[in-house]
Amino acid sequence: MFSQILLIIKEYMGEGLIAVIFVLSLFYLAVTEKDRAKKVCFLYVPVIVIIFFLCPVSYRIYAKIAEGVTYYRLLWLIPVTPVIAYSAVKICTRFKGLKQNLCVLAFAALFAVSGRLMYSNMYMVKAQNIYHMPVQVIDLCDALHAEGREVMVLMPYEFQQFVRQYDPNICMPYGREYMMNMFVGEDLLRDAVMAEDKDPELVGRLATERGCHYIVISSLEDFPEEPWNYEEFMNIDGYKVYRIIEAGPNMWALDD
Amino acid sequence: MIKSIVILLAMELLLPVLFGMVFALSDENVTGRKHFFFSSLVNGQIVLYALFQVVAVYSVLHSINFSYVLKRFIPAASAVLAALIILVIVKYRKKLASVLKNKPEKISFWGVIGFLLFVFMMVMSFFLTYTDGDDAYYVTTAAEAVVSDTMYAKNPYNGLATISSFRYMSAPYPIWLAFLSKSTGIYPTALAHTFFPWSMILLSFSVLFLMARNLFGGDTKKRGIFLFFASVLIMFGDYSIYPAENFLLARARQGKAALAAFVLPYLVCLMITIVKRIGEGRKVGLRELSLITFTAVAASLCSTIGGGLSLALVSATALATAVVYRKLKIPALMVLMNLPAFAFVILYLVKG
Repeated sequence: MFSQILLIIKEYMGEGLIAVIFVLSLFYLAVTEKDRAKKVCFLYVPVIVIIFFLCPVSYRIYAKIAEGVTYYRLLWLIPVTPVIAYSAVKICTRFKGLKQNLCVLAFAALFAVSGRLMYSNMYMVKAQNIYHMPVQVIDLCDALHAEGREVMVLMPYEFQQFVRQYDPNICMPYGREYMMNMFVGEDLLRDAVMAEDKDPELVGRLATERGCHYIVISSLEDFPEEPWNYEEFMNIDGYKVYRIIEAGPNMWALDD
Repeated sequence: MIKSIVILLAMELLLPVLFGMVFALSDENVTGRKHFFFSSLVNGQIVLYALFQVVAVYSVLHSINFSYVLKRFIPAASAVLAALIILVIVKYRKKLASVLKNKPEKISFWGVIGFLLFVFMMVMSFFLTYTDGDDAYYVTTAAEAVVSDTMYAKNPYNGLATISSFRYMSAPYPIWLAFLSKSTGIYPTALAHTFFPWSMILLSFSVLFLMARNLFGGDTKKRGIFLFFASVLIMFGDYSIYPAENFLLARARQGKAALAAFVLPYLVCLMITIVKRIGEGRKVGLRELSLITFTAVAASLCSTIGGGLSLALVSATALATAVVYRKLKIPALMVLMNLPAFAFVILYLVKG
């Protein structure tokens, strides 16, 4: 249990330099801070929270109430940024004039080196539109949208998390649960679509059974032939759209 | 679109300021315009969140229709706002006039740099996007509410009918986004990803501004350096995906980000205010104590565990304060004032 907690801290703190700076800031405040109120909020409370966090009983209680994977959120109670910034200000303002400014710059450089620029994160990319969605998702959703009705669309894996953010009237036989590895091995349709050797007959039958009006697939991963009961409908942004020919028993027909 | 943006600015800036004026004006330390603006903005947003949480959870328990929330929240918010404005006119109009007359304080060089870095972060939030899978839940829930007028009736991942866990319904932050979207006419996806994050960054900056005032009083130089350091630490906060700094810049539209980067830091700031007052032998009054309740309830809007986290923080502060100052009454009251928020946690535990 304790090793689990230590792992959470390790993952939270990344490479760890910021944790070192934070602990040094706590020591600095312990030695130099005279104001008792600041000591309470920036020293004693963080220490209490850390002790509480490290306690396996706290983890057990938290995991019962919420989910163990979100235990790291207890660390949000520690004002890491204010404590570090406050200690650094105290150190810098011991100097005057140019020395003070150089000290400020040195600390800023240290903070920059200790972390990583958010904008250099590989998942932080230039937005393609005001929806901040991939443009293919918007084109596909706009093309398949049916006014006043819900449409069931089998979307490619890479778009599943975006589709319903943009158009909640588009339903999917399975969605982001797959990315979260929930229900793996329990969805025959998903397994059939993700298979390397796709069986168009099996996919078509299962998709009809699940009420899919359309099947969308990347042209690069296309079926060897049209899925059973589906016909090629359109090509959008490198994605092929197949449309159902005869609606299944529990679904509305596109021609209605 | 321009009309929508003007309404959005009113919803994100004017409305919170109007709601928070009483709390800013009843703080004897607020004398200047900037301090008044940031204090009103932050306190007002906290009050709005708290009010919305109470109305939204009540509504979610009674109906699956989003319009049910609107029908209850708009009159409730209007009534509270009217009462607060009357209170300002009756009790604080002289102070308001004097605060607005005061010349703004000089801003130090580092304060300007720190502020510009925050402006840079706000601007970047319009043009850069961070792909996060959790949006498939949060943004879709907001979009579903606006588009189909239903709340928590469908599985956001696939759109199929479902019975949602009360875990999500007890922290209806996506419904707050839906409310903003409906009020402004901005499509929920565009609002959540493009037109909302700047306001969360501004709120986060405002809390740091108030914290700097609390820590350094009138020393503009120290306050400026503090804000500069804070802005650098936030910008370079991508040392892992878990810190509040990362949540603020990457997923500001999620309730978790509001909790980590705005509500909990504000609670820390409030704790500093209260502990300072205890230390200086000044009265801790209804203003400070009621703000604990509002903040704790606001935390519950952002996350199921928000009420529990606020209780943990206030309890830790109360414990340390009781030991350091050997006073029990106010620390005990601090914990008691947090309990209303814990009701949402209990509700979740009971209803599952």
